[in-house]
Amino acid sequence: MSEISKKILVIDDEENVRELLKLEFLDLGFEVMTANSAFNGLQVLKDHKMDLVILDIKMPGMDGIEALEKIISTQRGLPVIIHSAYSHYKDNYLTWSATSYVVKSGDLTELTAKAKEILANKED
Amino acid sequence: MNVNSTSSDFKELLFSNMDKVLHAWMLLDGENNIVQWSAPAEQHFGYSSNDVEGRPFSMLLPEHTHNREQYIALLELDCHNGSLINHRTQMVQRSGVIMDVVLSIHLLHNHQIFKLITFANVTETTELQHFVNNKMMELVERFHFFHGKDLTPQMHEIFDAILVAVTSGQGLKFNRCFLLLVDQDDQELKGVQAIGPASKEEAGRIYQELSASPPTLTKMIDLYKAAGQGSDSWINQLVRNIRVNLSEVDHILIQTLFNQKYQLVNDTSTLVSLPSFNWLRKTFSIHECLLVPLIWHGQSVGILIADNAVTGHAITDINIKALTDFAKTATEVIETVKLLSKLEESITYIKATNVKIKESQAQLMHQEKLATQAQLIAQMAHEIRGPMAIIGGFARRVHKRMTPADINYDPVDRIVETVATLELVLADILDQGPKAQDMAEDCDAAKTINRVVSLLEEEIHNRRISVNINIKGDLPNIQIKEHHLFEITHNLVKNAIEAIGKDGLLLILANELGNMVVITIQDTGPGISQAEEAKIFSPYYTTKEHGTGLGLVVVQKLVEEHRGMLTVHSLPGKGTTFTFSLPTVNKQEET
Repeated sequence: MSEISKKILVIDDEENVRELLKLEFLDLGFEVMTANSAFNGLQVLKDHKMDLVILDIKMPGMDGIEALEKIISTQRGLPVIIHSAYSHYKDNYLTWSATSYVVKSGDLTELTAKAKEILANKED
Repeated sequence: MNVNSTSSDFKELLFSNMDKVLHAWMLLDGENNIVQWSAPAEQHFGYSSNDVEGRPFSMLLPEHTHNREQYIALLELDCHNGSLINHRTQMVQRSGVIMDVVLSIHLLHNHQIFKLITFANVTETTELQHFVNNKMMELVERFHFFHGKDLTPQMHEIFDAILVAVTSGQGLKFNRCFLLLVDQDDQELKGVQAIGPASKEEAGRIYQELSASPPTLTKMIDLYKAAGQGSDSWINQLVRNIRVNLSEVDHILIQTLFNQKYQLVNDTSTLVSLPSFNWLRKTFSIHECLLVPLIWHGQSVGILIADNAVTGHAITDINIKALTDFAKTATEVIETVKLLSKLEESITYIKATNVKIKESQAQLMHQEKLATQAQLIAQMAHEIRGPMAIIGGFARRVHKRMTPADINYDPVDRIVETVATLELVLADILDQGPKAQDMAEDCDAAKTINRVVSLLEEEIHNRRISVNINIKGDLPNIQIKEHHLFEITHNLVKNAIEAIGKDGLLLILANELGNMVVITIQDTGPGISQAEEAKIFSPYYTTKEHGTGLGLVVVQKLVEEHRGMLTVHSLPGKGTTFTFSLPTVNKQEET
């Protein structure tokens, strides 16, 4: 892990999820920003350079799939982990361009492992 | 012709025979008073010439007749070319008995307008028509209440009514009557039903019973039914054995059908030379009978055969007239019953279909209900999964910071465990959609390739691209859903066509290599530079004006999901080759 901590943006409309992920990734030594909507998330990305986005799909207003498309077309190379309670979006090819897809769980091991792996590769 | 005869001789001859030609007739003067009265008219009405001559025609009409005094004057208005034919009305006999008659008027112009009136008494046939029509109405009514049941018994009842009407003392007074109908399906004339005593003895017995208390026609039917099933069934058997093919045009019955005219079968008949003539007399054991065709809208639908086999009475002109008249009613009734019977079949069919529709509807509703329930459960499970992840996530955080010595260690541990179990249950419900590879079906690559090419045929043709397809025979099936293979192939072929632009060659090869099927799509387009080659699999990368940049991403993802491989090889200026391989069905790897 580098001296300058990696920055993670969590986009989720559910406050408790944002709080949980923030605490968890802070514990792991990352810097964490949160946004409560896709729109706000895109605003944050305009102003801040991020290393990873953790993106919910089902959100009021703009959903995660639309946000994903915008992120990829504007911030090429920025990894995105889709983090959803739904697994069936995996079948939607629009989600295939995300770096990874993790189904929400009380056990954050899979999510944190994926995040660490992506960020480690990114440093290469 | 006798040359010495004068025209007055002819007139005399004609006038003296007029009663034979016209049966019943009378002549009215301009005031509609009777001036000439025929002998047959006298028989019918009971008035002599002296009684009626000089008196108004209206005296022959019943009291209740509408416009009684002007009756003939009004009919005159309806005359066409000086005649009115077959007008039906009622007239009254001297004794007060009312007759149903059919009369015709002919206007004869002299210094005043005389009217020749001819008429026929049709009381009997009218009554029989009413009787049979009532029977039919009864049947129609019953049909309305009881449809769904077999109509055959009712049909026999109506046939009985017709046959009784022909044979009864109140009716046409024949001894026996047989009904034969045309079966269009079998192209045959078939005997259907018969009525009559089997022998003189039985006839005597029945007629005695009948004369003791003259019954109604309805009672007659019951009497016949009761009068020994044996005789009835004997005569019925006789008629039901008769089957004549419609193509036997020489047969006397078929000739009667086609000529559509009655035939009196006896020694004077012109048809005596026909072989079937003797057959008929032998079959029915008679020397005389009457054949009357039943004609419905110009088509012969059957034959009534009537005879006086028991009493041996000769069949008179009056008998013939009565039966031919009655045949019209009989035909109407028979055809109505047949129509009802067909209707009945249709109703039964429609009912059965309806039941089937209702059943499948119920099934569908049940399935829909299940589908809706499943959807609801899925939705609820998703709603639960989010909060469950939060509970579990926070519980784990707390749990991590505890030591087993902590008083809350065990309770939090239980929370974490329970949430984990619950999440497994939810995953069972929600993530049961099998992986693409598991959903794979056997798929014939040759079929899919041909389908893709034929779908793009127009574009290929417009761009003047020649296509060379080379597929190895007996290629094993691939483990993939057809629409997935289609998606892959379609994307690659479409890319190749667009790369070529116009005029070029498209090569599609399919081969077996180990446990894989290898499909190659090669174009003679401009090719891809090495720098570009690295980018083509990135999402949203496109060189096309209207491209999404997702085509190759989808292809790659699908190939990978099915444990296949996708490679690209390009020579700038020469063209590009995409190759993908997918595992075959019969040589699966163990996983």
